[in-house]
Amino acid sequence: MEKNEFRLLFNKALNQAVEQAEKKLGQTIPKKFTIELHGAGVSKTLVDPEVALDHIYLSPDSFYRIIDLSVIAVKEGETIIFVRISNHKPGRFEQTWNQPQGSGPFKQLLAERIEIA
Amino acid sequence: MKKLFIGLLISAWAASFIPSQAYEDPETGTFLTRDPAGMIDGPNEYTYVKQNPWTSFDPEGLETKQELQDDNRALNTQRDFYNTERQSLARDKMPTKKVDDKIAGIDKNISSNDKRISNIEKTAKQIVKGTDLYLSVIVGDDSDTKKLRETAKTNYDKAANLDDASDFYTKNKASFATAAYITYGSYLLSPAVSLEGKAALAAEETTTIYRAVSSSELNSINASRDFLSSPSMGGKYFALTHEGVKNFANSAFNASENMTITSTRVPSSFLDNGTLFNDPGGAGASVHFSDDFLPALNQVKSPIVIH
Repeated sequence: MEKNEFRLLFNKALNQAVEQAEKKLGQTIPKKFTIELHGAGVSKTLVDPEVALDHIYLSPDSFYRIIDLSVIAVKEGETIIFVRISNHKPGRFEQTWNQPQGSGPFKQLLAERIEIA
Repeated sequence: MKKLFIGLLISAWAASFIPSQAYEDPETGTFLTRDPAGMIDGPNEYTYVKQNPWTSFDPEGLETKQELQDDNRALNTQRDFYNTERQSLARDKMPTKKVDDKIAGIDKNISSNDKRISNIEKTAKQIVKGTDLYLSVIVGDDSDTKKLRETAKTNYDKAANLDDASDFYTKNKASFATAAYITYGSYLLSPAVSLEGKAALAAEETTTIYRAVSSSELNSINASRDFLSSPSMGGKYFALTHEGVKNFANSAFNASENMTITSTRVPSSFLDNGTLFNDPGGAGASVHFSDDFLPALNQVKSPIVIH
């Protein structure tokens, strides 16, 4: 999978995380995203989605196998999304989490508490 | 009478982890220090009461709850007698001061006994928590330690679900005693147990957190006894239930990973430093600690138990 296609998959996963959060909160939240990135040599760092993409995409033939996502906060008109790369050894796209099918490495978590500032 | 073993257990569980009155040899069941009360329970001053401290329960190492209740019943009978006498004296317009003093003394003793009964009930609940803590510090993979851990856990589980620990003692003293004894014995015997830094853990509510680890992380834990940062710096997830971690470890996705379940206990308030998630496709209720919080986690956690 090329990076452009992976970007679409990532954006779809981010939007799914937002939908889950909106359902939990009972309100809409901003569609401007900031990623709190964990893993791939990065420890809890806030980055733009495009910068996060550079970290989470390896190559057309090698992928991190699980990348967790969850909305954790809404601050100053931005939605903060937790993104964490698992320690599993990277593999082919078919070896990624892929539940439900088509989601690739992206795995949705639901934060117990979503901070609204 | 002296039932020091439970007093010892409480003392050991308390912040100092230094028994207040006497050490007991967990293998022989006798005290390693002299009974400060001398020879009340027999000529051997290194024994505890009739070598069976668990048939009674006295966290202060003095009297049992039953004995205190019996004492209060007798005191109340005395009080009734002196009250009747006082009424008679008052009716005859005789001085009542001596009888009043007697009644006041009896009331003081009843009040003192009531406080001690209350303390016994309170301490019974603390012991349940204390035993829970001891369970968490039994570490080691040798067969004897595993057997101790299993037996202790089986017995402890019987106690843990009870709301009223003192009621449990009344009905299941022997069973709980076995759990407490075995866990404490293991605690003393295990050279790997670290006593340092556990005072805070003993002093507040704790939560058990579970982590499924790969063989390489298991090697790291065996070498360091800590959850160390990985090169990816992604932090670590811990499931909040044993069931959850088992589900994750045994999932088809992790089939080739040969995962081992570990657990540790942390002050419940420490969970506030992590992010709580529900992982519907994996471990269920979980907490994630970012990489920069792992050193703090290692400072407050109990020794890691390898399941």
